[in-house]
Amino acid sequence: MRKLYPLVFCFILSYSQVFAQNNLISANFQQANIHQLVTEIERQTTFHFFYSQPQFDSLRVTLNVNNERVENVLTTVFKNTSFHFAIDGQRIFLTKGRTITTEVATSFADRDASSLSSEQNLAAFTLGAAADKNVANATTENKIYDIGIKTNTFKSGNAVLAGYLRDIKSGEPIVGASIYVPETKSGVATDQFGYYSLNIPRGRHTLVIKGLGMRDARRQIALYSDGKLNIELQEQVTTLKEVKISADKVANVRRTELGVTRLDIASIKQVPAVFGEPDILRVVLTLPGVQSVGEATTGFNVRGGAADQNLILLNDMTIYNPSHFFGFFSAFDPDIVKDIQLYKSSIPEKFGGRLSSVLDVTDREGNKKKFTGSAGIGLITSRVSIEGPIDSNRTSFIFGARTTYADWLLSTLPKDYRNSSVSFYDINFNLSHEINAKNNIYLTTYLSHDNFKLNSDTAYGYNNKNIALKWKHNFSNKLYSVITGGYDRYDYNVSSDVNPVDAYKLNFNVNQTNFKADFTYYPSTNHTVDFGLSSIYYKLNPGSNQPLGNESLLTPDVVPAQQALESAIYLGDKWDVTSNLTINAGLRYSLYNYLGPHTVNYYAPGLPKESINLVDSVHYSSGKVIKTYKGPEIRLSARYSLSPDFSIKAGYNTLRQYLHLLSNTTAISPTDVYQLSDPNIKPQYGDQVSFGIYKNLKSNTIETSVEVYYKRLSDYLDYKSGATLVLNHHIETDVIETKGKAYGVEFFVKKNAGKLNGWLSYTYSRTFLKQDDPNAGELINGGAYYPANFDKPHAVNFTGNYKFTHRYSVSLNTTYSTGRPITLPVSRYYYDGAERVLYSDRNEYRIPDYFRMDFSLNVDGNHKVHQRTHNSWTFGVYNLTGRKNAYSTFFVQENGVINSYKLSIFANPIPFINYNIRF
Amino acid sequence: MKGMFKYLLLLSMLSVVACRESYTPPSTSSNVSNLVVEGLINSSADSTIITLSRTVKLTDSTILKPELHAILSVESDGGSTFNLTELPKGRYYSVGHILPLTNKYRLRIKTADSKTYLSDYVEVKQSPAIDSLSWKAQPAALQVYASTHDPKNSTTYYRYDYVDTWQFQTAYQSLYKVVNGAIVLRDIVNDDVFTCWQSSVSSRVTLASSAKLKQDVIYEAPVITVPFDSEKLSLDYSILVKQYALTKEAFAFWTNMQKNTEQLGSIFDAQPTQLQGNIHNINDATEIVVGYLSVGTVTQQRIFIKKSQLPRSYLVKDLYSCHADTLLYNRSMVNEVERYILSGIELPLYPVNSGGAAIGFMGAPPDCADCTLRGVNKKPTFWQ
Repeated sequence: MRKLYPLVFCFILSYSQVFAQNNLISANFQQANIHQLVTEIERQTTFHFFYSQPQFDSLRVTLNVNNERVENVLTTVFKNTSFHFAIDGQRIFLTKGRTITTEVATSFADRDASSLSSEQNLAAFTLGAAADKNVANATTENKIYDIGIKTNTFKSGNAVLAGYLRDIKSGEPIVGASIYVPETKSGVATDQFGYYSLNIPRGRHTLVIKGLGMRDARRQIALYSDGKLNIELQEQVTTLKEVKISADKVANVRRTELGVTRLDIASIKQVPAVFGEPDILRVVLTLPGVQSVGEATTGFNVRGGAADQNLILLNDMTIYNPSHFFGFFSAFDPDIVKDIQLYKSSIPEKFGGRLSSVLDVTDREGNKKKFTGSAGIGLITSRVSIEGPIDSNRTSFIFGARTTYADWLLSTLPKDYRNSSVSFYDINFNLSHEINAKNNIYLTTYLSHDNFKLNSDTAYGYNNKNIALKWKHNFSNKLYSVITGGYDRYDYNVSSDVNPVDAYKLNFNVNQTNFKADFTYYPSTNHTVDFGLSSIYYKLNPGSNQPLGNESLLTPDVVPAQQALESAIYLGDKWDVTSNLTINAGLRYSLYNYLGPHTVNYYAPGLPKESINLVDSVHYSSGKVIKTYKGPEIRLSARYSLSPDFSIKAGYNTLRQYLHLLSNTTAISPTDVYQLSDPNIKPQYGDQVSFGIYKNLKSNTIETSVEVYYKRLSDYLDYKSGATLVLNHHIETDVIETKGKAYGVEFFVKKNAGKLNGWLSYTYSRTFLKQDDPNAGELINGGAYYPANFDKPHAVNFTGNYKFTHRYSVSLNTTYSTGRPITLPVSRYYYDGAERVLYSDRNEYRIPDYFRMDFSLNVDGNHKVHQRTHNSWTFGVYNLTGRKNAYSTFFVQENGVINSYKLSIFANPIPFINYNIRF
Repeated sequence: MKGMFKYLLLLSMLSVVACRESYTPPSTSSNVSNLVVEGLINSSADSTIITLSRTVKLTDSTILKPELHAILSVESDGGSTFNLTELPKGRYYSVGHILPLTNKYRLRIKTADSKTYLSDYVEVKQSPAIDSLSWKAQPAALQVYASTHDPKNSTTYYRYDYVDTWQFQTAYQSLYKVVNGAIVLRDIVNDDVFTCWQSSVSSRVTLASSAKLKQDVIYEAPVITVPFDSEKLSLDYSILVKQYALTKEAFAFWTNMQKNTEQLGSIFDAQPTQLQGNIHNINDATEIVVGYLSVGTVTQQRIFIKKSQLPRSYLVKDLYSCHADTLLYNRSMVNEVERYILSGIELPLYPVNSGGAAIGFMGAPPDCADCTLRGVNKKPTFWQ
């Protein structure tokens, strides 16, 4: 109470307007309601109030005033509320959520009365209303929400309705939900911010809203002119977020894109994972067309693409190494992630720079309404997350961290393993702030750290560090922009100090500074236009080997840094030609500049790039453009609906990739080297044509699809025999550019509802490479096509969950695939005192087929909504059958005899247990 | 409950640690038999020996399939040549020719099936002297190292191999032997089967490089690791280490061979790659010829490690589970001496007496009493 006086005092000073004498009141309100307030003011003054009592039900006034002006009193009372007042002579209008302008709009004076309802005036009014942060929140189904300037009759023509879809409980945006208008058969999906824009005829409409994990909802509107409507949806509350019931039933058939899969965290959590911690990348591997070369890698291959051809984004930040502990855990914290979207065929024109796929991982926004948190305790890792509002429901944060404590465990192992140590952690911290209805900013940060030493004296460490700042600005209901700036870094180091004379520490890092501006424009119901530009500045330090300790005689060896600028502009349109035919057409033009300072080696034309054929080395100064690559990229897709639950789609894509990952090991390993395209190493280029048939059955509870694709690659890098990749000052002499082709067919069945849900997929796919240019260096397999390392023709995946009750459910995950190709020894010979082997043509043979089955039992605590904590247990077994899947096979000579071995990882059934708690 | 928890943790961790097991690859049908060329053209007064063989199928029981009746000659880019003469088992020999360092040399091979192979011209690489051999007795193994340096900084790439020799004794000493069905005293001076010497050659590719260092120095390059319980360390031990100088290309070849046959197996290891030697069929460039021909000199050094210098904890593992048996002439009407000793199943150690009369013999299996089964009982000339 005392605090109010100085405030009121300030108001007195700042108001200089002269008012009538009888507008002073003296009163002492204690928890007075609106009626008591109004009655008292009306009694002491000549003012008369106009208001709607139900709107003011929640208002309680405690105030002591003495000879205070009415307008000051009302200002004080309504401060920091959504209530407004307007004084027009002796009349006072009280409103909620909207200010009444008592003066005539400026343009009004110049016009005659008939232009009162002209669009310009209304637009001015609408904009004024929209600038207010309190856009109406539509929460109930039975109410008719008036949108725009209410007129006696609806005018003809269309108007634009826009707004956000949010979770009523946490205030989080709902992404990818569909808003459908049955009368006009038009609909849109919300974007990554939960934003939608709908261009529909004015009049009465019912909006049908379906969102993943949300209760289906309807909202009734009366659309008078352009306006905003934020819609809040109820979660499927009984399931405590752990079990998913999809509402996104027709999206599969309706969406234009091919080869796009979206999964929310609830479906991810159902899939049994090693050590019981939900693992995003392992779930991605169950999708058709996605494969991995082996158990201990989370690098994945999409439709015959290499592991480095996937763009992995976490809130628009590029993650170079998405795994911990060389692949046993994915680097994404399941408590923070909201959903993932994998694009394997129709890659939207706003993405670029990778050939195969985009994995877009989105974190949740912090809860805007209350503080919540969760924690998980597993055998090897623990994690914690906290989120909540910072001020007045406009700012929220979310924080998540994970760490491992496997070290103490390693020390209890037999002595062979005692020299091992493992540690890793990752931290997410995101902020979102709503400046006003037109402006939002988002800050996301990510940090991951790994350190390990396995039975050797060599220690490995690697880190991802990412930060991004996003500003979303709504110009109007039809146009908004997102400006993003960020910095991504990945670094690793390898060190050894066993031999003091050559103790070393090897460092590598890749850095990128990003800027991009993305615009979305809704010119009419039938078009959604995306355009924008982006620029990435790369700075890559490909290796620096430094002596470790004083005794080390090692010559410091630093491979010079590489710099490049990758820029792109794009324009795309989603055009609903008819209600059945939709075309997505996009064009992206990318421009790549390799920049100085750098010394570039030039080799004699027409001869292999070998040190012998070096003709010149040219030094370029800082900032000098050494080499430019550029070209258009086409993104086309179309969907034709034969019936509401049956559609066919086709697409064609071209992509360019300027950054290469060099690895002659089979999996992504922490010591792989990235390389920018330069005068000697061309960018990779790929194109893909695909076709799909989509049919939903049993009232959209079962989705089926068949997709086929054919892909061409050029200038994909493979390696010369015995290539050295680390600390190589002329990497071009150790790599060869290959041509590739990949084709396949993917069958997918998904059941979304009922006690049993899950998905089953079968993929037949092939990937071949060839190097047939004798001038480029050695021919591989005589210049014929040979299978790529990740060519696995047959793959079957089943992931299912059966709910006995809301509290008990079981999940089963089964994977089968053909073994990946290997190069086998074909004959033996005796050399240098031992028997040795001669290897076959590259990738001529295959390792045994892969099969694994995982099982888990999920037990939720009770489902009372109001309790301090919600907890759940997960018990399970990874690799239930204990099959010893070969990770690799190899041949070693021991005591002069050649023995063949296969290496298996997770070769036994691994029981796990995990405890999760939410508060 | 706590114990159970820890057990679960342990179980999980153990299964994470990768498991490796024996594996039979799909049988390969390739009948191609490739020529294998091994050896060094010695540029000093030492002789040159080149070994020719053929690759065999993985399932073949043959270890070495020698290539016989080939005609080999060494050619200088200065025009001179000399021929090699054939020895048994695919070995080809020439007496020492001191080769001028200014020239390069190549090997010409004409096989019995009239195919001609030529190596690239190779420069002469002279190996500097080995500065020292050193060793460390670590708890689990004895490690021998070589150190060298080249004051001219011109060698850079090194390869090592060795011949090691060790003295050993059997578990029991046999003082008697069976001659024409009779047990007689053994001549333990000239016919001792208790103490022997055995030798082995290196079977691993051992390489060292000073390319990354500021000086051409090799400091303690590991040459051999001998487990503490090996019979090699039961008594005195000696090792002769040979050092070869390599060209950069030869080093790449040997590194590749080392990677392909010795270093595979961990998670980050490179994929096997096809070997690229420097010998080619002059009519068919695609034919794979295994081997890399080098030209140069060899330096060597020997050290002895006495049993008394090794830790007391270095105890030999008894590989043969040796035991001695008391064998009687008459044990319940069975003549054990005849059944076990005269038949050769066991060797006689010494007589068993009872009241002054020999009632039998102590016997032991041959592996436990006859060292000549795995060594020679003649002391090597270099032995100290």
